Amino acid sequence: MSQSIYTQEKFSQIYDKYANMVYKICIMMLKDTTDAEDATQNVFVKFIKASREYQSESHLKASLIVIAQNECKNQLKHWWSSKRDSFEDIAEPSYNDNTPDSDVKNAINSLPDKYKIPVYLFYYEGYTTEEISKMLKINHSTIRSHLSEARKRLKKFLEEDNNG
Amino acid sequence: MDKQQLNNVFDAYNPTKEQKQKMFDNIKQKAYGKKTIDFKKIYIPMATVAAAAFIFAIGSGVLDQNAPAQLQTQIVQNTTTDIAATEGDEKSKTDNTAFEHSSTQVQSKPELDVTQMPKADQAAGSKANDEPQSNGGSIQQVIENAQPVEDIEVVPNQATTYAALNINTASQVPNSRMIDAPAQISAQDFHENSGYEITYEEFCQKAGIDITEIITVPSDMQNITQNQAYFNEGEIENWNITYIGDGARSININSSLDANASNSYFENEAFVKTDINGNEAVVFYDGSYTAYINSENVSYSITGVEITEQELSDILVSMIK
Repeated sequence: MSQSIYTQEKFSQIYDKYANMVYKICIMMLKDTTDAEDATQNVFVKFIKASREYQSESHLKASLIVIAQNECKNQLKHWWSSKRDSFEDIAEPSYNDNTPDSDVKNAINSLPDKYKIPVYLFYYEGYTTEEISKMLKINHSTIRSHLSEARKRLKKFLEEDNNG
Repeated sequence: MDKQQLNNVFDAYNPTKEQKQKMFDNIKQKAYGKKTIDFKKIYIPMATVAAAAFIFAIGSGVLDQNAPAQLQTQIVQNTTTDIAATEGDEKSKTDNTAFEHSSTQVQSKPELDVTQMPKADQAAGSKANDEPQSNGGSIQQVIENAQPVEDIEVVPNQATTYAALNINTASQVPNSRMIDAPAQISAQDFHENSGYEITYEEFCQKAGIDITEIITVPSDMQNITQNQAYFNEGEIENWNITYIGDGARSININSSLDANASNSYFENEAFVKTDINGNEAVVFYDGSYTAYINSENVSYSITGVEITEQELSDILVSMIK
């Protein structure tokens, strides 16, 4: 492999800063800690090997988000994942719990990925819908409708949870 | 549900310190630690045993020196197949293919049994049988010419590890690869399925695909096909596969093609394959039984522009309005 522009020291800094973010995307999409760890590693390995200069820190961050999402989609499309899903569906996801905020957590877990990631990027990472649209290469209007639908679903889930 | 609750939930997804450290160590190992597979170690013993068997066959009188070349080939290939079979099914397919390619330098080409192939392949098989058979060289030369290459394993039945790169030669527009998510959609598919006249540029614009910067595939890849292949700027990243070889080694992905065949495969169609290290490579299907991996340290990656069925539907709706 050709020498990456990211030396180990430089990479350490990037990893410290963005490992949590990448892992969060991966665990949300893959719903399994081992798979999420693998995917996170692959994302950073690809990032290092790509050895691309970014105009700014925000470009670098956005690129990691995109690579993470693609990596997870590829893993989900893999035949092993698709076969295994049928077994995992039986069990509750391992990260469902009864800790404080667990109702919110379970509500978010219940969202399909196409809603979950925009919710994360919008509410947690603070991206605008336009930025998310560019990053995920999804129409702006689609992102807005996804967020709107996600809010509706979260509300419904939490109401049902409280009533139940 | 307030913002703080939401933040708490997302914070809870963070990896533990131990997880983070473990991932960091693994990444460093994968990205900075060099790991190479010396194929000489695999191929030379195979070639040596095959050569010994061949010489023994002649020496013992089992095989006449003037026996038909085809029979001699059979003996060599049977020997190598037996050895390779111990490496595991898929691995042996790949390894054996590579060796077979080398062995054609000294042995005549075996006949392909076209009756055992799918229809589309039968034509190519017949064509291959009609091709002149190569002569010359020696086993010693083959051994000497053996080059260490990265291990590239082509795994059948993994429809998800490749994406078709549709080349629209009719309209002479640059082709683009769009990974399925969930469906593979190309400008051509779009045209055929919707019946709507649309250029490639219009399609990309509607799909939000940036084609302002189109990068041509490096020249050594272009030489492989008659059609030039283009990729969108955003699609080329992260791919770094090192292929050190004579530039002519072939990888047989025929079984993969058959296993995944939901459409016809055309000459000069390209696929993205993933090797055992997770690296992706573009391979071109040249209409026969081999697909050629691009050679010589081409360092590009394709992560893909993705479009969902919903997005396609949105595009269609927006066009009809």
